[in-house]
Amino acid sequence: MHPQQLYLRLKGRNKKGVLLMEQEALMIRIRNGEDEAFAQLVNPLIEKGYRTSFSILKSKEQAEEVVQNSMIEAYRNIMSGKEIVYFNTWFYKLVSHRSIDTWRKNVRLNESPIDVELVTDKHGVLESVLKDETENEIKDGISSLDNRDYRNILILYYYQEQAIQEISDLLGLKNSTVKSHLRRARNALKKRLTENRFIGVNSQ
Amino acid sequence: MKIDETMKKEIKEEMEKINAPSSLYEFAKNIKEESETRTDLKKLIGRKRSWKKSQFAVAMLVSLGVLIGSAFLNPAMAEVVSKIPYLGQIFQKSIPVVITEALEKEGYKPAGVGMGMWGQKALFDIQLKGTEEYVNQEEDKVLNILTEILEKRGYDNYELKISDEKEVSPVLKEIVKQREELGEKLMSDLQGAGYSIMNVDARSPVVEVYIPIADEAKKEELYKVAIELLKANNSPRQVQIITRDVAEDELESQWMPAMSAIQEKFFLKKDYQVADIRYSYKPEKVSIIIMTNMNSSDAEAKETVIKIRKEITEFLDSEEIKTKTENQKYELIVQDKNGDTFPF
Repeated sequence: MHPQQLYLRLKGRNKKGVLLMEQEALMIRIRNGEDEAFAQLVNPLIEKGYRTSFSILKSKEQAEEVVQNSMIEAYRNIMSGKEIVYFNTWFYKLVSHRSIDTWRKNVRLNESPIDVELVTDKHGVLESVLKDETENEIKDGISSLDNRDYRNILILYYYQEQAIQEISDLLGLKNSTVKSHLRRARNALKKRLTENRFIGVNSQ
Repeated sequence: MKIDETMKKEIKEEMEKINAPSSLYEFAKNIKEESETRTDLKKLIGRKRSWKKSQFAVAMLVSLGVLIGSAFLNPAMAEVVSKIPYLGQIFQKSIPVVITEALEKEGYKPAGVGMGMWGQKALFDIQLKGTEEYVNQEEDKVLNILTEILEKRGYDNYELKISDEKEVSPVLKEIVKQREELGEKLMSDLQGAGYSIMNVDARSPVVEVYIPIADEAKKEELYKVAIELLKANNSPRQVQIITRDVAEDELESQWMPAMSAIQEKFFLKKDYQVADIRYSYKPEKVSIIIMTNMNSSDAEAKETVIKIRKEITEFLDSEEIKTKTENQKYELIVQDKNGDTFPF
């Protein structure tokens, strides 16, 4: 093949188009009984799906089970001939939904209002933002019941890039509640960044 | 907006610490069985890790677009490539062309040389003609040849992958063929109905119809007509009408070769600490944004930024490029880790 023939401009829309086509072909192959095609279709999505589920559930076993069940659900939907245009989005939403379902079940079973994990020392942005908020609320004497939704909102919005409307539907919250959680998270992060910068300057 | 990006980035980094168990990939492989024996979900043992390859292949497809663009220019001028080439040299002969020629010289038959960004690294996906067995047997030799070439250019931020020629599945070929025919038909039907249509892309599930931005007002009408035509054609599909600015498209294709040379150089060399390169093509001004991984306070930041600026400016201001870009005005922005423009 001459190098010129390699001139594939797979940018922007085309890149997406090619991916969609590939996925469609894979779905047809799955329906034709090629199981290998299913692995090709979902493998690139497993990591992000699992990460989302694990962050919501904080349990390896449960996250694994959710992703497994989502795969079965996806497989059955494909086999039944359901038309799925944007498979990635569809699959991630499925995983998010199933994770939230399981998470709700957990909450029902052990009705602890505040996640115990919040109090650990080692924390990344999710934990620290949450911790700041929780401390503030305790100080202000506000009920922290809402905090259970808080981290899920952050994960769904910033990691899964879901729309505010979708998140509020999924979690059964008002749009305004989702927005105000996001605003609080931004403020908490801003505060933390400013503090870090301040310490940084002093230590030099 | 910036705080949103920081949040996103931090959450993403945090997420990256979580690793999906390999059993999930095994599960996907055996999906039929798993689906049939659903009660037996929990205990899965004896995992192999053979999933990596296909995962890689699909992800590659997604990322390929970034660099591949113009990596293939006219290889007419032969020249000696010295250590760390100038942008002008890259422009004359991009690395995929160099690789292709070198392999051919050694008697190999390259079927494709892809270049894309894989995380923070450039990834070369080189496909050779021949059986899998042959390719496996030659892999080390090929890797040596390529490593030498890349080192000669001073590149140090890449990975190489050698594989045998990928076959496009007959199913996909058939879909593409039918879709392309459908697209052509729709385009001529619409043109016949008196619309100015730039392009119709019917390859993906949603049919994309491109029209000049001047016809924006006709969007809705055109949408309905296209839907009806597809229905009448016995192939009802979703349709999206997209307006394109002809002037921007033209600019983009004029600038593409130069931009590709810039990408090659700055992505393939670690020293520059370039995270991403973005462009916008407006008739008033073309913008090039170099996003780096540095902070203003980093010791080497100033020197690196000045180097980046100097190289790009000299290149874009050279007579050769100016003829190609027709002296179009441009701006060059170099940003730090947080998206702020460097003060130097």
